[in-house]
Amino acid sequence: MSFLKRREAVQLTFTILVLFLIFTYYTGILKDVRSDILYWAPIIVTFTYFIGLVNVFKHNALRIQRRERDWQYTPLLFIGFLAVFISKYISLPTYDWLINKLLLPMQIAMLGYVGIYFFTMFFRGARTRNWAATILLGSAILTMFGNAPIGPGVHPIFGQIFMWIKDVPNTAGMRGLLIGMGTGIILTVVRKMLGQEKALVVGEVENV
Amino acid sequence: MIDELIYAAATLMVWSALYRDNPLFKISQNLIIGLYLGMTITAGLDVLYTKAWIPIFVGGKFFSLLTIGIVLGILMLTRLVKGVGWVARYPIAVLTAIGGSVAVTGAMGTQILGQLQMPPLTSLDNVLMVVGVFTSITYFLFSVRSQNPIFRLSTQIGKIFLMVSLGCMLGLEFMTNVSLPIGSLPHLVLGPGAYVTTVAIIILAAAIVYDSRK
Amino acid sequence: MSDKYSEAVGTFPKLDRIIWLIFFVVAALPIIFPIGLPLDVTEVTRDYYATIEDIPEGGFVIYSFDSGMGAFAEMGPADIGTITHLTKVIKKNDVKVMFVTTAGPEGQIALNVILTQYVDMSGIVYGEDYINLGLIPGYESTLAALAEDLHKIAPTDVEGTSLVDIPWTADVRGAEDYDIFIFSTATSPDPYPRQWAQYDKPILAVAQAATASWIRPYHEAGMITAYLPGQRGGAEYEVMLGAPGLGCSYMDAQSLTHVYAILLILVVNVQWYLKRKEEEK
Repeated sequence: MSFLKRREAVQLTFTILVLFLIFTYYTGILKDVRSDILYWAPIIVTFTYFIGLVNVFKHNALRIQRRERDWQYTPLLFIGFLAVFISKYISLPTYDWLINKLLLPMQIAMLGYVGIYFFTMFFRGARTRNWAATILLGSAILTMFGNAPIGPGVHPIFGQIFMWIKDVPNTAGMRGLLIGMGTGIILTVVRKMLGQEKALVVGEVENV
Repeated sequence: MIDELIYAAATLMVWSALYRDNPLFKISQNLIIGLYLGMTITAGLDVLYTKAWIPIFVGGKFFSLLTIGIVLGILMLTRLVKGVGWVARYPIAVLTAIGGSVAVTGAMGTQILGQLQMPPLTSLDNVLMVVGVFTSITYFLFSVRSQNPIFRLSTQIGKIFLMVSLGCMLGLEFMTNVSLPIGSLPHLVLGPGAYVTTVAIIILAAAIVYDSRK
Repeated sequence: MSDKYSEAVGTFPKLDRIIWLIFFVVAALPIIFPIGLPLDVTEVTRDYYATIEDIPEGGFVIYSFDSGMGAFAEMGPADIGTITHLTKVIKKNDVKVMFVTTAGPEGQIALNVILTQYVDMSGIVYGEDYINLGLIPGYESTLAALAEDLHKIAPTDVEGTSLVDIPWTADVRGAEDYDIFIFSTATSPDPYPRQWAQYDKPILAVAQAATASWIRPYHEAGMITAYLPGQRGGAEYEVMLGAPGLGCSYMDAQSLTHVYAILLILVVNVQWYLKRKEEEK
């Protein structure tokens, strides 16, 4: 049992499975087994949802117990959860209403903050301090003006400039980034297989 | 009509924090988390029912590799139990292995070999493309920093292409992110939602007057 | 936004609030009083339209719907346009469509909103013309499995019906039986061509405007056939379909807010430059 607790045992599991899946991918041998193994991923991911649920509940229950700042609002979290959970199995129209009429607008509005803060970012941070920043901002301005319908509406050249920036220098830079990313993915997996990525083994897990 | 009023009210509850942190925002924050959590858990239970329970117990696939997936998922939950949390490392290792292997096999073809295929040097745009790709790659070779003037020139040119690229991404990112508040606005300024917005503006004006007198 | 934040940054929030207020006014005015700025349809949108239009008789479409609820404002018009067009080819060419969500539960919510509130599904029958596999979380591993062995990764649809019992999915094994891949994502588009490009089938993408620059290399390399970037892509598609809707209604606001942002950048940089000159003196 003590061997199973060791980092090397987890490492071995990871390495063997990666090699097996890559082998089956390129050779086609044991394809059925590969398909079954790929199916484990959605199942394991689904169980992680429940871990998240317990952690969120525990964290917020402690907030209420310790009377932390704004704890009075925290019971709404539990009420919201129970409302959705119960309505899903008792009253689907109520469930649909809660998700589509209450959660959806709030979710869109919450994400809308990023768009609003963009203006703060432009106001506070968009300075042409050096030539690199000047090129970046210049490219951003030409992109923004050419991409919005008003740019080509003022003169078609702005739309063409935007398309050229997107199709040539942007694509060139992005291709370099993608090659770097692809190489990074492969190197990371190789490093993990060789045991050089300690993040795979989480150490003594801090339990709830 | 009620739905439109609630849609507008929910949106404005979240955006009320743009002026100042207030109880309405805190209510919306906690509601979002609770509702989202409920949605996620019910979706997860649906997945387990349709993709695990039915094939195993109705479809009779109990003695198959599928059952191992369920066992691994249950082992994942040991993370919550003191003393046996180490068991959860195995399903995490399996998950990482599956994700890593599919990413590696996919990346080789599409992200490396596919992107290294250069267009023919028959136009200025294609020449710029080839120059841009290779100089951008040299920029990322941090461990190979060299005093060689050609290499340094290459990294500088690569930096230019990357700055143009990032600027283009910034411009497009702006469109993405400004789309989100714009998408909410019709519900606030047209139809019944406009009444809610009017009330909100009056409350905001009162809050500004109150704060300025403090 | 909290008191601590306000104290920490002094007058910072007040000026920001004015900037935000101007943004809301600039964005709201064209929604209340539409201007109707002309919208050019780009070549990539035309290619997208043509690819769906050319789906062969009895063709099989797999549509990975992974955009979230939060991104609905941006990607909704493009998704609505795509599904509307698919309903037309379903009726015209007896095409079959299979929806699936691989990233998180939000995709299913957004899909249901579109199917029940925004697309005219009259004459389209669930089970006969389209099915929904529901959520199969796992993202890239699910995408790989969908192309390799459909029945293994998705033994049933979202209602629990076995795929073996549905006539037009019973014999479908994987990518070799699909005619076209479509994906809609609010995050990184990389996993889709990584897993699907190897099968040499058309791949269409509905993505955020921000990821359009990310998709471009794949498009240029021929891995992704065409894509619709964000609200603008959705608006262009509505023009192609001859049914201006949500997307077109947002474009005037997009134009004015873009101009506002550009003016903001120019003004602050001129101000900063003049201040620096003064300090140098």
